[in-house]
Amino acid sequence: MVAMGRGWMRSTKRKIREAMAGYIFLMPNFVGFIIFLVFPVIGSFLLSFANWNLITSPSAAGIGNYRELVYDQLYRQALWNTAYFSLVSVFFSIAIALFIAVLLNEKLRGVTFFRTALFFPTVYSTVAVALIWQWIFDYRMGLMNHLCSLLKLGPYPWLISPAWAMPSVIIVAVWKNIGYNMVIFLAALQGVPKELYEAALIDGANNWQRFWRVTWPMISPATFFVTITSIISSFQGFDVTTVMTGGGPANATTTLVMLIYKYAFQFFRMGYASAIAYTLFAIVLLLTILQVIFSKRWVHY
Amino acid sequence: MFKRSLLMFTICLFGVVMSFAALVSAEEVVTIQYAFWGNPAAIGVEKDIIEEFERTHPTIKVNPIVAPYPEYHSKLLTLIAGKQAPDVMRVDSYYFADFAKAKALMDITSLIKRDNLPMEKYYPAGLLDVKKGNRYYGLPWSTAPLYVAINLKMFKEAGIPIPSIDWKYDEFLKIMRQLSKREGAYRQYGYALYAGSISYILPFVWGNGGDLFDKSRRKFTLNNPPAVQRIQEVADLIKEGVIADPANFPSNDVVVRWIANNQVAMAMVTMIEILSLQQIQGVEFEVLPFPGTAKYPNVTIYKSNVVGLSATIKDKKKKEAAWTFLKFLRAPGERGEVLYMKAKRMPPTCDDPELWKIFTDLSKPPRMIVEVTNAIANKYAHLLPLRSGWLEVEGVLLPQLQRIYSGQVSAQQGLNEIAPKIQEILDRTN
Repeated sequence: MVAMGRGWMRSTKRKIREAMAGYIFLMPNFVGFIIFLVFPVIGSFLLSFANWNLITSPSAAGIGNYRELVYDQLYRQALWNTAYFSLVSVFFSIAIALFIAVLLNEKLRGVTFFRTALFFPTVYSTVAVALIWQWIFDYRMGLMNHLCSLLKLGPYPWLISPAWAMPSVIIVAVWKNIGYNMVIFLAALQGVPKELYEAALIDGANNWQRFWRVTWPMISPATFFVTITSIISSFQGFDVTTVMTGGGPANATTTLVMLIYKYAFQFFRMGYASAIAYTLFAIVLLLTILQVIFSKRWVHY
Repeated sequence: MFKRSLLMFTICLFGVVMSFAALVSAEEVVTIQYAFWGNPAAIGVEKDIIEEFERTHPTIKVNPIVAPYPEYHSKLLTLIAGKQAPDVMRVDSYYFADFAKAKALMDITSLIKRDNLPMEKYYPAGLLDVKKGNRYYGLPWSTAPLYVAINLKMFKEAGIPIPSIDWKYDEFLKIMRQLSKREGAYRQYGYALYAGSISYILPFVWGNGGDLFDKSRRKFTLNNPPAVQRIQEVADLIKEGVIADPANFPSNDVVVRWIANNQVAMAMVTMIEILSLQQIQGVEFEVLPFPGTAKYPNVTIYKSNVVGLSATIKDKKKKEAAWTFLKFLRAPGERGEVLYMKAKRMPPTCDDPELWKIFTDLSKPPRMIVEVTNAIANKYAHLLPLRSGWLEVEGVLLPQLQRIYSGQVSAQQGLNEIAPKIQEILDRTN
């Protein structure tokens, strides 16, 4: 009895020691997580109910900042711009990436070169890329209008017209993102069992039917992953628009994250900027939940 | 016994001397922080100023805090919020009202009086941007007008003589039209308007009796008839091709390139852009005030930034050290101004021929700069109606002005649309 009790004590002590060691190993990351993520998240949420210009002490604003958002034209325009940018860029960056991935999944000569070349834009510095595209889209001296002029077209006001600016920015975002999406799709395509294609072929399925009935369902988890991550990152769009257009012309490319930056670090309205950040968080969360719910209908694990 | 006592005495004496020396040295050297915008990798003239100051004031050490302009003020505010405000700080005039309102800058009026600083030596218009009421919250830094640069080659080719300093708006309009032309794909414009700041449209508006705000700076008035009429005229001139479409100019550097390429005959430029134009070989240009009318002659923007002391300095010695450095940096007749002139960073803040001599290089254009600057400072200067919330007002107004310039909305409709929002900002930031 005594021996059993001693054994139980030893085992409990060992478990406690192991647990302690585990917590100690976790500690550096956990402390960083608390300081750099949890505190700012809670802090900015509280700040969204206050007015603070960084110099004077914060003062309570109640729901004033959220109420102001309802009437803020600039916020509505930024919300629209973000939705427009997100919807179009995500659609094209997924569709084109999938198309290219299907092509590059074949055993062709030089396929490795094309895979590498198409992945390159993903690793380039966004700022450098945006500056180069700014020159490409230049109204007077840009490469794009030069190429158009060879075809007796244009010149087009790529970045200087409110109607053209957002499509121009979307072109750059799609070009930058397809490489990453393509790699995910390629990995998924290579995981589709060959037997399924052989069975479909025996059943007399043509190319389109094989893609639609075999490939598409089999890569649906990858498509789901790419859609969710692309939508989240597109809602956080900031760098390309900031460098290429600065949000203009006439606010045509001002996104929600740009607006947060403007209100926080140009107008020094930290509370209002936090309120915008929380609406952005709510939108992204809602979209993600909706996607998870609807994914049950089309994602096959 | 004697030896032992002597040893003890010597040790005690050594200890006392060392403690005293440590105390004296700790008391003597005061370290202050000086914040300014610039290139952190090459602080240029500021380094020379700090080095010379430390050489001549061995008891004060100056630590520079530098950040590029776009992030400078947010960094400054973060330091202030974190109770680490720099002792001496440069503040752009656009932010001055906000900093003064938030009591971030020290009222230095009594220090100026105590040391009899010859404030009359500064250009009077420059001093207005560093005051709130009758109190001084810093000393002027980079007091300069926004000149109209004219491309002499284009004027010469069109047979147009250089206008006189007191030229008027009608003459300006006539020259703009004369110098704008289209030959096939080539297009030349009479004027380039930069739309990245409200400042570049206000001289047009002032010339017609309009303004951004009323005199109390509490009411938005850009949607009143004189302002609307003039802004619509500008939009029409853009449509006609007399003024180049502002959408072409993401920054005023691009305007400089267009002047250098003889695509634009006239444009409003700052001293930085004048220095850029000087660097381009073969560009002949001159500067003039922005032309007003007989009724409204003073329409040239005159702007001054500020260098002030932190309001949070409590330690007397530190306050004195910071004030000594500020005087060295900005007071009339001090070395700071001379070093700035040698570096050709900005024109003199004081009406001093000696400083102008150091600053100007008569072998390079613009050759009338001294004459024109003095005329502007004394006769044609118009201060921006800066106030708290200025940048937020600009954030709402600029995109709408871009819509007006591009012909998407009329000036009346566009300005009426945003008037309530701007009024809300003015009421909130009062």
